Amino acid sequence: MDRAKDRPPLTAALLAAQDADGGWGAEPGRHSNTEATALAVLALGKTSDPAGASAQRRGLDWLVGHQRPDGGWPLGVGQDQSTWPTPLAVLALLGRPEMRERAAGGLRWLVGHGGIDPGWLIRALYRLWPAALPVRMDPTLKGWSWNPEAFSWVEPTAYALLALKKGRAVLSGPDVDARIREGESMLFDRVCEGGGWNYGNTNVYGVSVPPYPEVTAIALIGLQDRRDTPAHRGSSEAMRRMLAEVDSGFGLSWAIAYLAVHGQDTAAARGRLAASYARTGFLGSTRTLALALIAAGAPEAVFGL
Amino acid sequence: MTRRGFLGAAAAVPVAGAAPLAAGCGRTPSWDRAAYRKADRSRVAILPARDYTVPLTDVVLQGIRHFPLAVAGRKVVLKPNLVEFDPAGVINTHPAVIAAAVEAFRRLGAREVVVAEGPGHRRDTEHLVAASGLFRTLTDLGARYIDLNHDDVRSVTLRSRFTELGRLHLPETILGADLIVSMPKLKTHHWAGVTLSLKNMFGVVPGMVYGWPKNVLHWAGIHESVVDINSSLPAPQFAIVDGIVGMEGNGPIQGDPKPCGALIFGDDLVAVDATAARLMSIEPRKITYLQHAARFLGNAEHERIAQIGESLESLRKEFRVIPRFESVRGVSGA
Repeated sequence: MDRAKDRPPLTAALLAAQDADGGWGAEPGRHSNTEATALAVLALGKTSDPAGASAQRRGLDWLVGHQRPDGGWPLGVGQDQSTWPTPLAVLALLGRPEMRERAAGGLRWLVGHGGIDPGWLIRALYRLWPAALPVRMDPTLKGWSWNPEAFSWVEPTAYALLALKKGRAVLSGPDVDARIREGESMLFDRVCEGGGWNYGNTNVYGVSVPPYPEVTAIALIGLQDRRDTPAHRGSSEAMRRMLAEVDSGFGLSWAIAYLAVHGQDTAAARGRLAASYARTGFLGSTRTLALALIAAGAPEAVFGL
Repeated sequence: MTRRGFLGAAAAVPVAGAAPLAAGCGRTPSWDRAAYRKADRSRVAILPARDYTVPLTDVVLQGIRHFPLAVAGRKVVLKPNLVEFDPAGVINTHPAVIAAAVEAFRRLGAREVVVAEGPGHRRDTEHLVAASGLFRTLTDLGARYIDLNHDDVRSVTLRSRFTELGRLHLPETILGADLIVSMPKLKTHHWAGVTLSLKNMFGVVPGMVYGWPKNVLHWAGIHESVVDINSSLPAPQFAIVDGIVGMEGNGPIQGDPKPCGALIFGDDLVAVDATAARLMSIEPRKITYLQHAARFLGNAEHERIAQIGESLESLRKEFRVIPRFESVRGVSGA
């Protein structure tokens, strides 16, 4: 049976974007990378479409083939260092019994890695004279970084928290709990004035830096089991205020995932997501295409605890 | 936040000995001396443009034609400054200037003109491109936008050693360009003093590898990274600075609009930035990365820059800076 005619446009576009090696690149034709491939595998979910199932299988094979000996994943083809997309790859493997050990390896890598230490001088300055610093944050709190040689920032920390929390059935223990607690503390410390998160600076030279809706949604998903905290409550309010201004595929997809994970209505945002795709084609971003497909399906199953 | 940012602020208050411990300080910079030969003199053109409604393509064409640029049949990559979006702000290179540059390089026979940027703070490029008006502009022109943050990358050896990075991943779009046109906004910058055509090249460094913000560069030293990136770009470079409305105060994001009514052109980015700084009443010799760059990449001295077009004096404005950079204000020798 030819299913291609009936295939929803997002699914058809995602299948068409798959690279010959089984992975997905940032855009069709680009080298496969871990982020896009992991999100595509998640997006194809429990598809009944044989072509989708085959594409997903090949995507999983790509992820398996690119896991590094230390348990983490590199950015993509030709990269030789485990780094920030590791939690997304773990999410793609979780729930598959045959992938349990691989997922555990990724989780162990997360427990053992994080943003770099700012050094004794900055730690001392923060303790003794925080007002001398141009930013208001506790630089000693360690979340996760974009790059193994960099400081901790919000988005990679939220991804890592989500993977560690969803992966508790695979890897648990005091070290996991401690790492989760510290990552949460780092996110709590980086909440913008009035709630929400941007990349990770709340105030520079005395001026508040505003939150971004997409990062706020991702962080709230990472903290979905901490709804009792002021950070979560205040940032949920901020998210509600920002929701009307979200106009991109990336932003709307994460906003829908946040709403779905928190049991809220997603209908209006889904309509805007379709309009965004019609307007910009998500600028050709495969990552956004996959996220949108997740958002259009059951994001609470993918990102909920 | 960055180590340099922390320490820079700490140095602003008297914490003796803090700043020299920052990354990028205390080593002897080096570069391939045979590979760089500064011209005796460089040319910079300042052309007036009252606002964004004037026929900017004509102005840009006029500006480009002051220089012996090889454009016909070449792939031209326009690198604007697109960082964040604030409807009340003037953070980004205006889409009208970008559109004018696309049209101008096409008229000069470029094989392909693409607009490419890797926003440094916000990962949601689709939002930035759409909200800033750039998406509509490029769609109307049939021009491509390339997100350098997610481009395919290749590791290259840096041709100068002001940082200890040694190598950097750079996007294939940049590595495959025949001409790279830096199109910054004329802005003050709370870490670097000013952000112009050299600092704008931070945006070619891919966020996928280095993050949002591009933190590794900050830890390596902002000024030093600016020099190492610019020294290592493979293609000839040109600059078109959007100084029609600049930004003063707490730039590059939270500053205030500063009308200046000028577009600045040149094929020596050091000379362009030095001239642009003087236009802002900022002394280029006090901007660290310009000091570094002027050692081998181009000319910053006023007497080595032949200025074309409008006189500097007629368009010069007093740009406010944050207190930490108060000492860079005031221009000598111009």
